[in-house]
Amino acid sequence: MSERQLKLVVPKLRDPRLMLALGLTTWTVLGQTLLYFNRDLLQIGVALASACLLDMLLAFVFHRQVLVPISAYISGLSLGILIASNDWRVYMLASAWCVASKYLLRSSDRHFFNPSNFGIVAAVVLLRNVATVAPGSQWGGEWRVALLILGLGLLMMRRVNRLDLVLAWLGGYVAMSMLRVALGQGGLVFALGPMTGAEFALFTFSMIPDPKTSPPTAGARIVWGLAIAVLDGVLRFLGIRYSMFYALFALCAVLPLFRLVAAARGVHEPDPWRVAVRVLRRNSEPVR
Amino acid sequence: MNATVPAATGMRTRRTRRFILAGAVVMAILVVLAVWRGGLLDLPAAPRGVTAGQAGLANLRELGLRARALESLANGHSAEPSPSDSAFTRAAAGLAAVRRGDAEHGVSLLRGGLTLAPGDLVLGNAYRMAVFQLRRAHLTDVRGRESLVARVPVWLEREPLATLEQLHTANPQRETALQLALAWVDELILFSALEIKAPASVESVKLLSELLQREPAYVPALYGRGLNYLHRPSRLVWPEARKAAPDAASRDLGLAVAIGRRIGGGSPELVATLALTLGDALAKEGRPDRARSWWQIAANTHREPALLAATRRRFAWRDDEMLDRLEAEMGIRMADLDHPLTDLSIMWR
Repeated sequence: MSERQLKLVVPKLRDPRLMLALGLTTWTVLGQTLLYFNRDLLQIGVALASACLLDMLLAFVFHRQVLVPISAYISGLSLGILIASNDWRVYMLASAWCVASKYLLRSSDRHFFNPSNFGIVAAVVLLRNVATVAPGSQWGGEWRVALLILGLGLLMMRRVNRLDLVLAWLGGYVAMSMLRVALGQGGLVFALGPMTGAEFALFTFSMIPDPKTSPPTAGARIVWGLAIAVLDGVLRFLGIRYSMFYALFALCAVLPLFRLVAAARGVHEPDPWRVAVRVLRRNSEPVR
Repeated sequence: MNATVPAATGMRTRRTRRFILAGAVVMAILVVLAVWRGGLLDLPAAPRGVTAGQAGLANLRELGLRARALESLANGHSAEPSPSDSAFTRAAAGLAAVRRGDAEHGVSLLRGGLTLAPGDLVLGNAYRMAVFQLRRAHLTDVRGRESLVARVPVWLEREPLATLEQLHTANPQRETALQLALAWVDELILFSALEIKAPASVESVKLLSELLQREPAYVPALYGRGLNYLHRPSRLVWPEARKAAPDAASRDLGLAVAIGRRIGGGSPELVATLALTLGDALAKEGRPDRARSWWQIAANTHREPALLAATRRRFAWRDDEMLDRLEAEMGIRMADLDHPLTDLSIMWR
């Protein structure tokens, strides 16, 4: 048996994750300077460093890769911004769970959980009362800033080819909000208000469009965005906090089940998303 | 084969269009239902046909001019236009005397002015605030000398409660009831020990509740009672028989906001303060998301540094620490004796 060779993995300039990383970094810098982001730089630093270092270590151990940890950078920054805790170790743990989920929870050869989403859900569930998601109104209560961020975010989504997914999620969210209000849950301002917060913006523009953990085809992305919105709406109606994160987590957790169905139909495909699309399409044509 | 490709594309386009159309129709239906059922802010329903007069929000501009004229005269400046009624001139002379250091005479003149116009909110407020600051000064003086005995002069000991009680008995108007109820709150602000605070708050709520039974849309009373409920400590034992419902504060403040919205006319500062306070009430009730929305509404209504700072402090509170942070914040606000919570001038500033 031959020893596997070390491989240097550097993202290409056209890698959509670079755009996401750039956008997220800009948000963080603006949030910490001009806007009222209200985060602790040390905590962001701990989350970022833990995620990047662990990603590099695990890539080396599992795949013999020397990695430029661009995905871990996005995840670590998201966690640093989104998690709120007085204990810096929470950020380290959440980052560890986030990165470990990529290497340890896999369907065939691909991870199926969005890593930062996994880290957040693990933190708020396992570290209850120690970790929470940062309150949503971090832009200083200024709706014009929220609108600007929404506009810039949508432009960025167009660049990374995830506009369909994000628009489906936003449209689904608005529809579910209207439904909740129609069913007697509050007024329109409160149903749509979360859309102006940092929590929502980061979920929308940094978490769900992650190219590695979102569907490969436009149709599937629309269905995926709507599915997240519907489940989130149901959870919100039940008064469950962190509903967006739970919704994405629950739907990602279902992905490996498609592999079972696909195997029964003789479909073999390494990418869990392509498996899901083929099962839902009821065909055996490979997804392009 | 070549003909089937455009046909399939056309079918797909038609299907996409149908999908978008169906989505738009569903969305339109949902929007109509949502607006009809929940409206924008999910506030309690304001009484139909309520007027600015019934809500106590009429003539706020005139009240503002009167208050400014009173201040100018009390500071020795001329005021234009200067009200010439004897209640006003007497009160202005009283306020000037208090500021010159002739406190006893000044309070007597203020009291005399108020007796001539018992329903005058500006004069009533000026009298109450003057007495508040005098009592505060005496209490501070006592604390400075580390004495256990409060040396408030005899003439000031029973002010303003005795005067306002007499005034209300002689002239049972909503304004006199309001001033008396707020005087009880002044008492609890100055003496924060629970054995004074609890009965003072109970007394104030009793007066405001009686008033609201007669005048259910009177916004200052709703605001006053809401504040009373809001400032009751949530984790201390409160007289059980008088314990309020968990949503008592948010119901009163929500109704005050709803009536204010229907009538309009309040200053941005007043509207923002009501929104901020309603947010606080919802936070205390354990509805953090809703609370944050109201704080955000407050920040967007009046972008003034102190209010923005207050909302930003609140935005930083996590759900699990919200109640503690809110009570600490309310404690700080209550201790701001330069700008007491009960100062009605916020209505016409």
